[in-house]
Amino acid sequence: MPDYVIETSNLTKRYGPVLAVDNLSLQVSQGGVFGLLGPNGSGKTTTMGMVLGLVRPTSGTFRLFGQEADGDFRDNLHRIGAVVETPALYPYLSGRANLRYFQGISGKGSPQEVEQILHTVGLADRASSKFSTYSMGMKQRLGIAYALMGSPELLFLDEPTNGLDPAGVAEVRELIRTLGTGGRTVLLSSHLLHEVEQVCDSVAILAKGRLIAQGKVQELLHQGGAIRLKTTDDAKATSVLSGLPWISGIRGENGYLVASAAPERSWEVTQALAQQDVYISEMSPDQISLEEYFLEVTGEDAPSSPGGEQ
Amino acid sequence: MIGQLFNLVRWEWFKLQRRWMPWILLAIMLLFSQLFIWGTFFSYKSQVQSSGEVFIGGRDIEGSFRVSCNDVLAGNTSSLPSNISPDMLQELKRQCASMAQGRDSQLREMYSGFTIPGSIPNVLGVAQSMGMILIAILTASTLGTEFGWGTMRAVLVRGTGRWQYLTAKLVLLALLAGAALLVVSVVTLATSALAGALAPQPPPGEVDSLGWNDAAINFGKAWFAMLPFVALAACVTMLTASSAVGMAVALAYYFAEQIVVGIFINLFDWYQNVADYLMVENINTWMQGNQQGRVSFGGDGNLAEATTGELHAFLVLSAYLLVLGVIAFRRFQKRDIAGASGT
Repeated sequence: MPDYVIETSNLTKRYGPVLAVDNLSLQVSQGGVFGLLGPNGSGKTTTMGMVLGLVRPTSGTFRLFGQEADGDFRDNLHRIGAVVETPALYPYLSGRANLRYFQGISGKGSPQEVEQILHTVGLADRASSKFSTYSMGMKQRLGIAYALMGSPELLFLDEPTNGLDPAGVAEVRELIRTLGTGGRTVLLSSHLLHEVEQVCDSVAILAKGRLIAQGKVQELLHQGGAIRLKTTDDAKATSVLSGLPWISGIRGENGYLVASAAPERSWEVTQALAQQDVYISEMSPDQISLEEYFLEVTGEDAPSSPGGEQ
Repeated sequence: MIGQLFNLVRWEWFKLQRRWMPWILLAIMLLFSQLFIWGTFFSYKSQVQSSGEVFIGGRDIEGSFRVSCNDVLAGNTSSLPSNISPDMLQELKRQCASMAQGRDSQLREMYSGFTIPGSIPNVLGVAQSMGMILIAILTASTLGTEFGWGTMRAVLVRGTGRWQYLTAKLVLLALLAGAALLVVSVVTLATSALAGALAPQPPPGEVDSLGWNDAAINFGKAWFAMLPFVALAACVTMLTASSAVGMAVALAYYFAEQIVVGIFINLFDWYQNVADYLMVENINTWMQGNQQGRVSFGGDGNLAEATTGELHAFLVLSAYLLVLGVIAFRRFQKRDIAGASGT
């Protein structure tokens, strides 16, 4: 099995004067839930579209399951399940008939599998109703059911909790976490920071078509972390810490000093201050949220806070 | 490869049979073909019952009259105006004799037009004229709605090849065109048998009617004649990703070509050379070869000329199929597939 299920290299998509994706080099490892985070228009869906063969890249290359995706890479698409943007299925067909159709054109699977998937996503009772009569939440569920057919190794889910009620959101997030186990990879595109923080193991942050940061969620949060401390001499401590090259900033906050540095470098802070006869009375890691990290790395407004969820 | 294509065609049919549109279009096709059968039937019946009437009027006669030719030919002059001159009576008899001769032949022609087997090729001609518009609408709808609903994405991300998918759609549409003609033929078989049983027999005599052979040939020709409009609608829909534009352009072309040809051919002699390469013009040539007196298959003196016309039409229509098909496939192969547009 290759190291990465998806690997893009300088992938670029231009629509006339608009640069939708700009030299994107991204690696998605096998297994787990990978978040593609960014505000609307940041290039998440276009990136998904290119990797799925729906959108032709202007330049750059990508590999799927370790295989160069030039020309016909449809064999690899059989290993993928995807819902890009809103779940778009046939409005005049029932939920069951929609799944039967997509199962039929892929040439594998059985009617029992359809029933089982409908049950998994909680649509067994409404399987005979037309897709056009479904609520947004039901459409999302059927979209996930559609993506799950054929037991794909890689799942693309684009804003899968859109339109779901809070209970539905929690259910779907739990489902996504389950789907990301057992070697399967889930690529979750979302503008909801809270969702990505809760569900994803790794994340890539996009803004204006560019990759801003990529890595394990916890590592990124640590990278953007800080150390909160109380000392015997705050003025001297500020002066000492300001001289350390790996501390990007220091400020006073509610009687504490907050040094912008990865919490795992706490011992170096202790050492540096002790050498100057400044002693620490309190010290704790000050881990930022993904939202704060997003603001820090993009220098703009957060895409959507948890309170902004629908 | 063939197996995969067959599978796609099968599942396209699974979808299409659940839409109203193909059934409504088939009903329209059946309606028009049956209107032709029963229209001819009632017209025939009326002609048989009318026994032929002649209108008399003029400066020498006070008022105007309609007289029965049967009366005139039988020498029954009681219903004629009293002031009719002997010369006029003679002329009237001559007209009636001539009419009676033509009328018998016309009645036989009409009778064969709505009874088996002559009704089949006639109705296929009607079904083809109506069908090529309807199949263009169905083609544009079948392809365009995939873009509008965003389902094209859902199909392609499952690893379905683009050209395989488009081929499956077009093969299904071509098969449906044939199936529709078959349904029309079968229904016509039943209704024209009924019409034949209800209608009075025509006057005895030879009639140059269309037979089973013509029915088979017309079936193939009508089917082929519908395909260029499938290609036109598919091409425009693939270029614009819109069913509405696909339908509009196909319909507009159908009417515009005939209007433009009608006008320009009377204004400019050279325009005939252009018209010889237009789609509807060649479809008409292709179909008329077997309908107007069966010149190409009936064996009269114009056989060579008519066959050349049909061959030319066949080649031109094949070229349209090829060019429009290539454009549609190339465009589909290259284009980005956007999400649902709602159109």
